[in-house]
Amino acid sequence: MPVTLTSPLKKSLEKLLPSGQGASSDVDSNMAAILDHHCRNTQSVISGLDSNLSILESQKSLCSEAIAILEEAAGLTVRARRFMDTPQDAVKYRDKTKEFEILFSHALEKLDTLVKNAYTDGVNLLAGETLPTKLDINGQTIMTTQGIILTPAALDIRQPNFETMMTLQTSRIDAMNAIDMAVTLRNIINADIETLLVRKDLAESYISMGELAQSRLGQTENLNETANLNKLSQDKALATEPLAEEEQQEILLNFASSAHMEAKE
Amino acid sequence: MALIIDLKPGEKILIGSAIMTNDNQRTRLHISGDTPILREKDIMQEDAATSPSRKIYFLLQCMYLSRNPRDYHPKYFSLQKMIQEAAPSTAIFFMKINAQLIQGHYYKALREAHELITHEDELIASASGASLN
Repeated sequence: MPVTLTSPLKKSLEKLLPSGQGASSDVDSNMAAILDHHCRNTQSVISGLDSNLSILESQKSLCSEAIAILEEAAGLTVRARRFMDTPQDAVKYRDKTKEFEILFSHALEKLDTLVKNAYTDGVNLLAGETLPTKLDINGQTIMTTQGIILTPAALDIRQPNFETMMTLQTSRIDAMNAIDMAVTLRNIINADIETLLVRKDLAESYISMGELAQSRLGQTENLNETANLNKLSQDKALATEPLAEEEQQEILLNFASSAHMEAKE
Repeated sequence: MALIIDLKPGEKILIGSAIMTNDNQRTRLHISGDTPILREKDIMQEDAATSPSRKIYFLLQCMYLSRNPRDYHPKYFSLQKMIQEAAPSTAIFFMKINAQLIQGHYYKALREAHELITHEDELIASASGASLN
């Protein structure tokens, strides 16, 4: 027999079917058609997710390159400091510290060039751009990855001056602050990659379940949904298997045991 | 946009892992952010998940409350498969639930799961009605 048309199912089909098409006629075929349509839409969403995941991975690598350049710059301030134990040393070894200062400037130029060319498929998060990712076919739910500008100017890295310990320290602080910002961007990208992977996992499972359901709908001649559900309800393994992880168990038990204030009339 | 919640006197609400209990007057809360929020009437304890669709609701609730919802995916999809196998008519409800999950709308997924529970209850009741007849 075909699937049972309960009131929630009828209501759902009426919303999902083209207007004028009755929910009561040919329920199995209608359901299969709706599921097929939604699976195809979900496949489109997955394609978009794949594309943006690829962009994010590339941007993450570019961000790591930026961090490496900044770490190189910070390292130069450490090396220069060794020639500045005293103010006299700072004067005596000025040629040496000048070399490090020039290398620091070169590192900033390298960073600037990297950032300005860090495009992947037209997107540059290192230049503060955004990457929107559609999580549904209609684009009503969008996850936006927000970039951070990593040019030396945007990061307020001042022109280096390794003449004195104080000015050298300024360059070191600038480099360390810039590293923090670049690491922040990399963390944002990482978090969004993780979120999209979870969504992709769900979407792929959704399609797989949808396809299984469609094939099952084609085999309803000897189906007794009620008997099947009753049997499933009585399944011992299902009945006894704990569902909640420890953290959620604790939250729910705390909720149950917390005081319920009696309303005063 | 902030979520507006009106609490009755004495009503409890779960915000993240914190439990807030209202005092003896009606209160209106404006809550912003992504922290999970569940009213007392929306919360299901594990021992109340006595049917397959209620277990689905419970798992969705756990996903909503969890920092790592992915940990619940295997159990959720395994149970979904069993239920769909038993009752293919549930597929439409799972389609709607899963569409919300993909968008990260766990609370809306819970609301769709209420429909699944009602559908299951009607299916089971229809057999009881038939057997009485």
